[in-house]
Amino acid sequence: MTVTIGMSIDRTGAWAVVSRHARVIAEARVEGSSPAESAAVALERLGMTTRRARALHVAIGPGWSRTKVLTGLPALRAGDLEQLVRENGSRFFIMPVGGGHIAARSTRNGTVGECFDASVVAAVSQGLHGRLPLDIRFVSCASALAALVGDGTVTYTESDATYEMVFAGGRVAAVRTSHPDQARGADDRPRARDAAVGSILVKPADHPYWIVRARPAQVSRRRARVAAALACAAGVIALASPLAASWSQNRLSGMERRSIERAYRTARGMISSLNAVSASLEVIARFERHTPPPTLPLLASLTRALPADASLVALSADSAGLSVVTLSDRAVDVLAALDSCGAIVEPRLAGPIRPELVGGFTLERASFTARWSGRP
Amino acid sequence: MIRARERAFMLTGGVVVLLVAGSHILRARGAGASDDMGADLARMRGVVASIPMLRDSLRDRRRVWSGVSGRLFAHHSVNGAMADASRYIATAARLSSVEVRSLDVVADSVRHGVVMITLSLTATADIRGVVGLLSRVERGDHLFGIRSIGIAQPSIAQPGSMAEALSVQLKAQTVGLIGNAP
Repeated sequence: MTVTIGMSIDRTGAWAVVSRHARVIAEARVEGSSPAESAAVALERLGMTTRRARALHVAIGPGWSRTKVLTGLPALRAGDLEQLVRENGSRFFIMPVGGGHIAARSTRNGTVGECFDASVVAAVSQGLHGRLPLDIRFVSCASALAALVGDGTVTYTESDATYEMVFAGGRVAAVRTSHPDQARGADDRPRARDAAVGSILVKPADHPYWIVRARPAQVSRRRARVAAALACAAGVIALASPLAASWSQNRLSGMERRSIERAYRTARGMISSLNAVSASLEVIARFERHTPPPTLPLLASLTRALPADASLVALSADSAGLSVVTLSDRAVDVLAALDSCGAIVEPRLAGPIRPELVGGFTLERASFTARWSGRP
Repeated sequence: MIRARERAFMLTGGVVVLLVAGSHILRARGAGASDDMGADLARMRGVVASIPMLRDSLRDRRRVWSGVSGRLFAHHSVNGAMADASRYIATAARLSSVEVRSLDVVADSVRHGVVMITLSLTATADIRGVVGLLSRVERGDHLFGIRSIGIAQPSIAQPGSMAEALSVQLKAQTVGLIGNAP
């Protein structure tokens, strides 16, 4: 798909754009260089976007061009008319010091003649030579703006000079400059303006208008308000979104909490019951742990173990152990019998063995102690 | 003197600062509340998830408890449980032909609905009565533990025709269940 390159060159530098279907797809601006260098650098900066370009329109700034409507010319074909004007250029224009490059073209409102600074045209042609297979067409920026504006006034600032261009019926009616060195006759009265300026550029193929960009790029009040409103909305969203997320999370948590609260209460009740039952069971278990072995089997095994001639005078048993007092023929036989009793361990004499007269017989009274073995 | 434009700028800046600070405070507060709520929710989820396990444990322990609680002296008051326990011992002594000289009952404080009741018995009986009393206490329907027992034969040399009179001192402990069962 072919594209068109438009370039504006004036005393401030060069500005080049690539357009396709009346849309700028790339642009490059070079400031403060010579016309040849700025044109070459600008074209180079456009890069690969220019590889399908077939035409290059170069608009020369008002400092290096003159534009006027030519009257009194005979009705000739376009080529002949341009040749006529070029051959009699000094009759139509005050020629620049380095010579003039004359061009003329017919419009609906008459013939428009343009005179460019020949050195600038040569420099630009030389700077662009061989870079692209381009058909270079020069036009004055005033003519370009006239095609776009139709009727009205445009202030064009170039370097330290300001030009006021007056258009009427799609052609240049007057160009006035405020720079004292740029005075060009009766219709060039200085008239500076503070207004923003236009910078031209490219006339796309099959498009009736020139693309013009305002300079400096001022943002309209409405756009600024919209941008401010959008920024405020973005700020509010940025501030509110975490709060909203937290609120949403809390709400979901609350819903889930309500849904499981009943089950949670049931579980808490079960835990409480379990703790109560466990505590009561622990009390019972502790009671059984600290209860001595059953007394009855122990007494039975003890009495079975004692010798037949031994009498049990007293018996005392508690959790610590056992103490018995016996009367027998020989106390050592009782001690041996106690030692053979499986229910007790470590039987020993707890005091002296005293002889005692009972029913005409002399018996030995002895006290013994022992510990429970834990086995019945 | 501040111009109107500067005043508007300062006012706007102040509002923005207040909004940002307020948002931070609200966010921090919301985050803290959210963390607390999340922790509570996680704890509740864990408790709810353990319900089947709790149900099984509770069923097992209640089964064990139902086997134990029938052997306790259940009453709505400690004094009632003490009276039941002393009545049980006295009945066992009477059925065993044991002559009770004194019977003291002491209870501990109630813990987890359970109270320890200690009975101190002084009695006179023959050897059969002693064996019968011990048998009824230790092998009876209620949970009893013999803490100490003292048996003395005052007159070893008495004739065989006289009735045997053993002096018995018995200290037993049992458990009372106060109030509703757990």
